[in-house]
Order: sequence, then structure tokens, then C-alpha cells
Amino acid sequence: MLTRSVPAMLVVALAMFGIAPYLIAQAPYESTMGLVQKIFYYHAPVGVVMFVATFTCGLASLAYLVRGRASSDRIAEAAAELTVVLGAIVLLTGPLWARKAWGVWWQWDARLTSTLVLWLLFSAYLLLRRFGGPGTEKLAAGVALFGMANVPFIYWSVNVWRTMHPKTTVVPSLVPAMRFPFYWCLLAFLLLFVVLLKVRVRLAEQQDALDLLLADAEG
Amino acid sequence: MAGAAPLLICSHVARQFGRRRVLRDICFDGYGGEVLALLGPNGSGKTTLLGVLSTLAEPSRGHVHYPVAAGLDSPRRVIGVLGHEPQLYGELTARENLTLFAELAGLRDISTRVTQALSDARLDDRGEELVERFSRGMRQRLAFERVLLAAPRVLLLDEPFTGLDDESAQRMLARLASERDGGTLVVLATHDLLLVEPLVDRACIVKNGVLVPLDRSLALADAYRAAVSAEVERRSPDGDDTAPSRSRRSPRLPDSLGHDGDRARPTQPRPADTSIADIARAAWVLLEKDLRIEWRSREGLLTTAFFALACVLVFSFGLVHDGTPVPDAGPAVLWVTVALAGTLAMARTFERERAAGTLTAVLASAAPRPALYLGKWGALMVLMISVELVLLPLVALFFQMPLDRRPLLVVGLLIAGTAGYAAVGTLFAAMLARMRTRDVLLPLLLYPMSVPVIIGGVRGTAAALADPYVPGVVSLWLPLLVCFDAVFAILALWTFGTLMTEAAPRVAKEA
Repeated sequence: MLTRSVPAMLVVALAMFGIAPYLIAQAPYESTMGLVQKIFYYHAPVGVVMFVATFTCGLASLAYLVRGRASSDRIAEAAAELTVVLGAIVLLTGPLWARKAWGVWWQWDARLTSTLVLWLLFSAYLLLRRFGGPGTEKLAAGVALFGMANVPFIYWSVNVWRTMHPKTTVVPSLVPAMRFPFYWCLLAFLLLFVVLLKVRVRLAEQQDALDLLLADAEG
Repeated sequence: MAGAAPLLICSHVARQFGRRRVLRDICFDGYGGEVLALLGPNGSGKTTLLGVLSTLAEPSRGHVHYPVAAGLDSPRRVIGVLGHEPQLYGELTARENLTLFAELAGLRDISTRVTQALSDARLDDRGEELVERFSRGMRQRLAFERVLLAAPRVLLLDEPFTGLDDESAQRMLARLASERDGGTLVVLATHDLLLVEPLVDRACIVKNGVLVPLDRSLALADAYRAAVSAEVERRSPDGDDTAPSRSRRSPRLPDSLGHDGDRARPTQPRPADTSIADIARAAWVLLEKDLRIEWRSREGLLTTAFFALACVLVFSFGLVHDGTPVPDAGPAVLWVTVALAGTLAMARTFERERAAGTLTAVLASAAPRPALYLGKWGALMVLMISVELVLLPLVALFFQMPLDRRPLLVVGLLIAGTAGYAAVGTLFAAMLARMRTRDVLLPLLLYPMSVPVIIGGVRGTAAALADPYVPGVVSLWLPLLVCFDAVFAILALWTFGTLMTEAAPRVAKEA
């Protein structure tokens, strides 16, 4: 059953998203990119939350492989779906930045490529669950575990490979007036992620309960 | 029966496929020196129950316990499984098939045992012939002897008389009676009621997911008909049929025998834990088997090599302008071709195992599961590297790669990259082997996962052949590939056993 914390968190998250445009507007303009830089306040937090979703899926899958509890698999499935949704947002907002910064919509830069790869990986995970037939939860858990193990390779690649993408060290170097709206948006997206995760897990619980009832009815 | 220890305890086992509950609540104890017949119409769940008993499939609920295997590294050491299909390698001779499974079981004096088994199968003079030339009945006789090689304490047989002529069926009956008298528990799923009548000690029908004992004071066929007609009456509109309910429970089968249960036959002593030496030995046996099959058929090598050449040709249309390849086209074509050809090789390898049912036979054997992974990984690497031996000079020739600059470095990158690609691919191909959509799912899962290998390989090869050569660049990629190999090989070894056991749907675990 959904707890009361979920609607409360949703209200807080929505309120934060309501205030976010004001904070972003108040933040100083970046000297070279101007107004377009402000997409950073949405693009980067969504990217961070996507990685949180990835690790949530991987850890829940690990728990499912070890302990076999259905609740772990439901969390893994929900987190994988959110990884794909958040990844799609990152991949759509990135080119808006890239067009202004690099003059092209897409650049085969290591970070962009890696994000696309991660998105493809979790899309494949969902396809496996959709078309793999009954009992594929365990196989999907194995795929998610491998996907999580791949994330450090992806992250490492950003610092090793020559890339046009701003490095991950850019966030601590932000001026305080830019840092506050960034963390504000990050918190809002994290809250939204938790809410969506809980709601999706609840939906899966209800689907499973319905399947059990139908199994009883069908004998 | 009091005081006799069961060899097998099946406790409240349920098994579900999607929404369909095939097994609901199966309870019985199996004792040494008895034959238990599992009867029932097609689709009633006999094969599913045998799958759970053999540890190839996990139950949705309940558990299967083999007290006789206590202290052994795996219950599969005491189980012999014969499925619908003979599950033999057609590209190996009868003797090689038996030797393979004897080695996987860790038996001693294999040559004598195999010769005896060939004699028992009445195949003494056909031992050196390839099994693919055998008739269905000959394969079935050989498969039966394969199962008996390791002297299992529990025999799980699914329609063992399939394809046998009358004489062979009678001989098999006699062998089963002999095994039973020697203290073996025989669990038999069959429709040949008249044939097994004199053999069966206890019989039950799998009905609505539970076991219903049959009255053995009647002839087996009569008892079966009575049980089925009782079911029809219960389903008739006038009957008081109760809808299947979750609370339905299988009665624990009565022990009808007067024998003294476990007439102990010494189980071969085995350590409780599988040692690395055991895994390495079994992996080598499986690798050798794959290489022998490939050497005889050359199917994988020839098809993969020609597919790789076709890929190179197709790539040349896009990557050669005015007769000159675009910069770094060679390394890109090389690695993408390796990936594509590798996928073809691994899919084909497991398809061959799946079609013959041999993957199931190896999984049901006493060989440690990681050994199966290591054997397949090794065989796949040998196959891919053999193809790369042809591919590398050709790509160098067509795309003007100066291989003479640092050939050893390129070979090192190829070996490290191939190892990583095959490490992930072997696991995914094995776990997808049971699925209908395996052909499309394998590349969908494998390509994104192996992107670090492809990028590392392409950039590393380009850096190794670059002029001027910058040693620092290559020294970034080679460790990346080695690191990838180590991480994913360890993960695959750790998860292989779990992933290869047919899982129950998550919802069934809460039923």
C-alpha cells in the first residue's frame, strides 16, 4: 500500500519544480553560452538521477539473485524503466546544449556515446523482460548486474578519453549563485525519482496480485 | 518402512508458468529399492516435476531434498536424468559420448566402464561410429547407459521407452528391475502402462497439480482409468466439482512396499566442496569435446570466417573513398567484424547444444556449473581467434593497416578484447538458449554491454599502428581490456550456476 509519504513527497517535488525556474532565472549567465547554459540545471541533475536509477536497478537485481525476493525484482524493474525515461530526457536535452556549444546537434563524444550505450543497455533489459517469456526475471537480474558493472567503465572513460563534454569536476567549480539552483534541481529530481519508483513498485505489486487471482481463477 | 531413510524428499513443491499453475503441492518421499511411476495425460506436469526433481528447474514454492547427497558437493552426483530426447552429441562416437559423461562425473576406470556400457546397450561393434548415424532406438539405448554410467542412486526417467523395439524395451525393464533391486530409486514418467505393470511398486497420477496415489491392488491400466474417469465425473455438470483452489494439498503417498527402504549402495565419496582442480578438469573435458566436434564438422569455423569476410566487403563500400580507406578504418572494420562474427559463432554454438538437448544433459550432470561456462568460453575463444588469424591480415591488406609496425601489440589487444567479448557473450548466449527470441535478444544485450571492448580495441589498435607511435596511449587501452575481462569473467562465473537454473516467475514465489 502506498504510504502517505508519497503524496507528500510529490507535493514537495512539484513545489520545488515550481520554484526552480525563478532560481534558475536568478542565477548568473555563463559568459560564453548565455541563456542556453541554463538547460544545464535540468540536464545535469537528470543525468545524475539516471545513474542513481541505474545503481538502484543493479543493486536490487543483485539482491534478487542472492535472496530471490519478488520485492527486489519489482524495484529493479521500476528502476530500469526510470533509467530509460531519464536517459531519454538526458539524450534529448543534451543536443539542445550541444547545438549552441559545439555547433552540431550530436557529437560522438565519449560521454554522449556512453549515455546512449547505457540507455540502449537498459532498453534491452526491458525488451528481455517483455519478450523473454515467463521466468525471465532472474536472467534480467543478471543483465542488470552486468549493466551496473559497466557503469564504472563508462564513468572512467570520461576522464581517460579525450572528450568535448564538460567533465564531472565542473559541478564543484560552479560559483555559489549557480551551485544553489543546481543542487535545488538535483534534489527535486531525486524526490521525483523516489516518488515514481514507489508508485511503479506499487503498480507491479498490484499486477502480481492480479496475476495471482487470475491464476487461481484459471486453476 | 519405519526406520528407512528416504533418498528423495519432495516437500510441497509448486511450479508455475506465467499464470498457469502446473504443479500445486507435490509431496512424496522416495526410497531406495522402489519404482515410482508418474502417470497422467499430456500436459499434466510430469516432465515439469521431473525437471524440478533433477534440479534443472527451481520450484515456485517448496523444496526438493536429497538426504543421500548430504556431504556431497552437489545432489546431481546421485541423480541420473534421462529426458524425452537422447541428449547425445551426434558428432561424437558412442564411446566418446559415454567417455565424456563419465569424465564429467569424475569416474575412475572409465575405459572398462564404457566398454561394459556399450555391451549393455548392445552396441559393442558400433562404439566407434558417430551417434548421428544411429537409429532413434539405438540412441535411446545408448542414452540409458549414459545415465547409468555413474551408478546414480536416484533415476529420473521421462518416457524412457520412446523409440525402442519390444526386445529393447524388455531389456530396459530388466535393467530397471535390477537397478531397483540394487537399492536405486526409480522415478518414471510414462504412458506405457502395460509395459511397466510388473515393474512399478507405487504409482500416482499427476492431476490438477497434485499427486493422487493409484490403487495398486488393481492393474495399473485399470487403476489409471478409474482415476481419470473419477476426474471426468467430478467435472460433469451434475457432479460437485470443486474449483481448483490454492489450498489443495497433495496427499503424501503411502509407502506400499514391504522392503526395508534404503538398501545402502555405497555412494562414491566426494568432498563437500568443489575444488578448483575439479572445475579445471571438467572445463578441459568440455573444451576438448567442443574442439573435437568443431574439428570434425568445421561448421563454426567455416561459416564464421566467410561471414567475417562478407562483413569486410560490405564495410569497404562505405569506408573506402577514391580507392583509399578513410583514416583508422582498418581497426574499426577489424573490431566490428570480430563482434559480428563472434555473435554468430556463439549463437550457433549454443543453438547446436539446445537442439540436441545436450546442454540440458551437461547441466544435469555432476560437472560443476562454472566448468561448463569455462569450457564454452575457451572453445569460443579458440574459434574466434582462429577466425581472427584469417581476418587480421586480410583487413590489413584491404584497409592498408601497417601491421609490421607493432604486430605483437595488436595481437595482444585482439586476445584481450576477444576474451572480454567472449566472456560476456558466452554467458548471455547460454542463458538465452532456452528462449524463443534468443536470436534477436543476444545482439541486443551483447552489443551495448561490450562497447568498452569495441572502443578499447579500435582505439588501441589505431594507437598501436599510429605513426608516430605514442606508447602512453596504448598502455591505457590494454589495461582497460584486461580489467574488463577480469570483472566480467568473475561476474559470469559467479552468476552462471544461478542463471542456468530455470527460474520460476516472481509472482509464483508469493503464491
